[in-house]
Amino acid sequence: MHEILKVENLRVGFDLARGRSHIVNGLDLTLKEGHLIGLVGESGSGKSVAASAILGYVRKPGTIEAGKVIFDQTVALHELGEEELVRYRGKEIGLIAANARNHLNPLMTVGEQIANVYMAHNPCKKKEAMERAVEMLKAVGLTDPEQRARAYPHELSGGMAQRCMIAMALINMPRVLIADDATNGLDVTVQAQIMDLILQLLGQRNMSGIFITHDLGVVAQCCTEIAIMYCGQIVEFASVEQLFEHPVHPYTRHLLNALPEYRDATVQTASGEALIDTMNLPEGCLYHPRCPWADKMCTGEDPGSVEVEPGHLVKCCRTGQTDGKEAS
Amino acid sequence: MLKRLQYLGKRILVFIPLFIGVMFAAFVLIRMLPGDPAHVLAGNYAYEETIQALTEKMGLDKPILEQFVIYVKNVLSGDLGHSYFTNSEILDDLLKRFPATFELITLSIMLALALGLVLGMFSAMRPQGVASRISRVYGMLAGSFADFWLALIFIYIFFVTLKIAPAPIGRLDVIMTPPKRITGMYIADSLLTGNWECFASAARHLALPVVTLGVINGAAIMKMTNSTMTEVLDSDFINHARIMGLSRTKIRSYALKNSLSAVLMVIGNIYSYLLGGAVLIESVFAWGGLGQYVTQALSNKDYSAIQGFILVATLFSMVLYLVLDLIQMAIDPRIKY
Amino acid sequence: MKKEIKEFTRMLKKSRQGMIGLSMILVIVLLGIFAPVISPFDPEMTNAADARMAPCLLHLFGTDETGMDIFSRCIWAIRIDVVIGVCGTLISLMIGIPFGLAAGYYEGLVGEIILRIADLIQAFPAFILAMALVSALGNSTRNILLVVAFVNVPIYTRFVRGEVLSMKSRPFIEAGHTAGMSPARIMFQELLPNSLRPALVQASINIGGAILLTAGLSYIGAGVTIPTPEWGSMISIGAPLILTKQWWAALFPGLCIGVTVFGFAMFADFLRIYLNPERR
Repeated sequence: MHEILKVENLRVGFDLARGRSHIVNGLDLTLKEGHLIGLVGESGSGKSVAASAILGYVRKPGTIEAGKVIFDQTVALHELGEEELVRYRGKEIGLIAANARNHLNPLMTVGEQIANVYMAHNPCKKKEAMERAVEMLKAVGLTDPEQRARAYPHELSGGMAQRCMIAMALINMPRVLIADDATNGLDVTVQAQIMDLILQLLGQRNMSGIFITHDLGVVAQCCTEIAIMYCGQIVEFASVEQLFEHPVHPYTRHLLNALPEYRDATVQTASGEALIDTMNLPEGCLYHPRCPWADKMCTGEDPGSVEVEPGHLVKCCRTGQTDGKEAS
Repeated sequence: MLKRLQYLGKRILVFIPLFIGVMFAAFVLIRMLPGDPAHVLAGNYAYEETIQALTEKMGLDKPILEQFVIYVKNVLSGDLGHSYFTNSEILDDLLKRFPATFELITLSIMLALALGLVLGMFSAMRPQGVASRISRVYGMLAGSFADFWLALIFIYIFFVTLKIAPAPIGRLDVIMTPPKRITGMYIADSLLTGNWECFASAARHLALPVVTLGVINGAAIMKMTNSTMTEVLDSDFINHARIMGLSRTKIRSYALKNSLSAVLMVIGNIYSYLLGGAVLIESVFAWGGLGQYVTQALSNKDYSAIQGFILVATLFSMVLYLVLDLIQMAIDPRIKY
Repeated sequence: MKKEIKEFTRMLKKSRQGMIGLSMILVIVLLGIFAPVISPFDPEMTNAADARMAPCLLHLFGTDETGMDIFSRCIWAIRIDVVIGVCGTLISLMIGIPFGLAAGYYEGLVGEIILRIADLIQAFPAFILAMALVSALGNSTRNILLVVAFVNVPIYTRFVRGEVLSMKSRPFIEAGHTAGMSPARIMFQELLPNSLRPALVQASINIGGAILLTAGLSYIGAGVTIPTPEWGSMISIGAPLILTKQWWAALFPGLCIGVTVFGFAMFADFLRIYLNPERR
């Protein structure tokens, strides 16, 4: 099947005063065309950084250390310079961020901002871009789009602003959409509406997507695959059915354990809640300090990915051994 | 629009008590200056009676509060008083002097703004770049040297040694007659009347003082631009705009617009300071502006002239901050008014 | 306290800016202290025979119109300019802080009155106000120092007030209230130590400004009078000589101002980073 986006061994670090903080540590991810991956991990696991690093951009003082990003099986995004990358950002890959109002220019009408994103990739008159922006605002379900286009971000509600973000991300008909916690900070009812809207638009436009969230429940409903992220790595990747039926990685099971409907089904895992020290990463498996099954084997080399069943990848040294057993 | 007018009205209402306070404080302060004007005016060997008569004529024998009430009444009817030293109406004096200083400091601030914005912007966009290093050194140096000293050095280089600048005396070549008075600013008037010879002379005389003040004050604008722009460039919306593939020029214009409020504040401060503070430069170049006028008035104990200057300066900064506020409102839709 | 000093020296060693700034200040202060030993001539001694001499071995910076040795005068002037700059700023700080604390703590009438007075002082054109005050009080060095201090008081009052307002809702202040601490104790034991750091940074930045103000006043003839050695008034002596190509009389005192203010600016920049709460 056509792989629209393939990420290999992506590494991002931040230079801080006290040393280098390793946020993304060898991320591998393959997105097939028309699929929707749910990228799940706790806050601080490097999800958002990974998302922008795919587009070759990280905030200061971060830098991309290594990694390959192949778009559409042919374009090696990691080899492109800034000038060429700009042609893919927002054009082939769109991104929706959380807390839309912070991510919009406070001194410019949303219509103009959306039009600017359109003009950045389609040379045209401003008037035409504005018309496209208004059309797009209509498509994301805003009533009275002409008037909304003339509003400033602070005049919009959180839900409306989020719709504007979606319009901005989709105006250039990207082939991949990354939604980074797109419903965070919204009312629960609005969250559902926004989710539905994104899914509906994805379906209409035949796009592929990556949904970044910490909510396994949402992912279970709408995604085709799930990637569990821990400390800047994908520790388990599987189709939704596989993952929920047969979770392998201890961390995955720890997360599933948090869902009420799984509480009894899986074995209690006494995973610690210790913060990850990104300055001094542990040797070997990054999860071993928290893992109840960890032993000497885990502190040695990087475990690497094991395919436990077709399309089900796990990054753990003790695949098959932790299954069903009580932690000692 | 109506809301804006209302806001303006409110601002002016708030300003009135402050204005009266400043005027009264100045009134009292001026009368605390040692030596009294009647003495100065009458000279060292005057009879006591002459001085007495002068004091009465100037109205200085009345209680301060009464004097102030009389002064306010006169001002409201357009009379700022008479200078017994220059022997002319204060209003005429001020109208003559103000344009000279205004022209000088406005051009200086425009230069400072150009320097400060460009350097500040580029050093914020590339903190490790050459521009950034140059700006850091420039910011440190320009803030450290006295403007009147720099002006003297410029005069030594460009007038005394290279002989490309005109003599530092006044606003025009000595033999030249000023252009027909429209605004009182020679550059503007000579342009309006098409008097090119005069324009060239005025421009040549403006060059050194404007460069001095521009270079010195550009540093403050640069620092402010740099620090706010660095902050803005790290904000969520700029990062998102980058991820959406906006061009560098577009990003720059987003960031610049968002840094402008802070820069406007600095401009306001420099502007209102320079109206009196440019006196040092004025005296180096014998500019004959407001600053020199008030210095002279201070040493003459010319009460009404000093008071007149305070009036102009306070009104000027009020109008200035109102204009800056209006610009601010035009830029930032979040400001409530 | 000991730990604090240790941390300070550790940071200072790491910062090139801080080192340069501090050593410049130290050298200047030492030169000022040992002025009688270092300066080869009496700073106020005129000598018509040696007037307007270009820099040479005897007169390192040359001599001025009346034959006074510019090098000696530059050294002696440290005692006036730097003392006014530093002490003037400290006095501003000492007056400004209590008013700022009060204005922030009592937001009602008291705060309003203090704020309006600050407005009033700042509404005057600053340089002209300083000129007028000096001429009202008389231009002794002490009076100039007081005036330089006075015109800067509103800066610190506003600054400290802002700090206090942002601190007031923090738990430790509220706790003080519930524990029945007196307002004075809350102000001086809780609010003061916490607003002192940023106020000190602000002060270190302003020292240079105070020196420039002093020099400016003297240049225009509203400050220290000739022949007392002071950089600004020395430049005013040198100004007419510029036109006759005798550049040294104005150049050197101006350079002294520049170097001194630059040193303080460098050190202030270091302090700003060192005392920044986010750094810890």
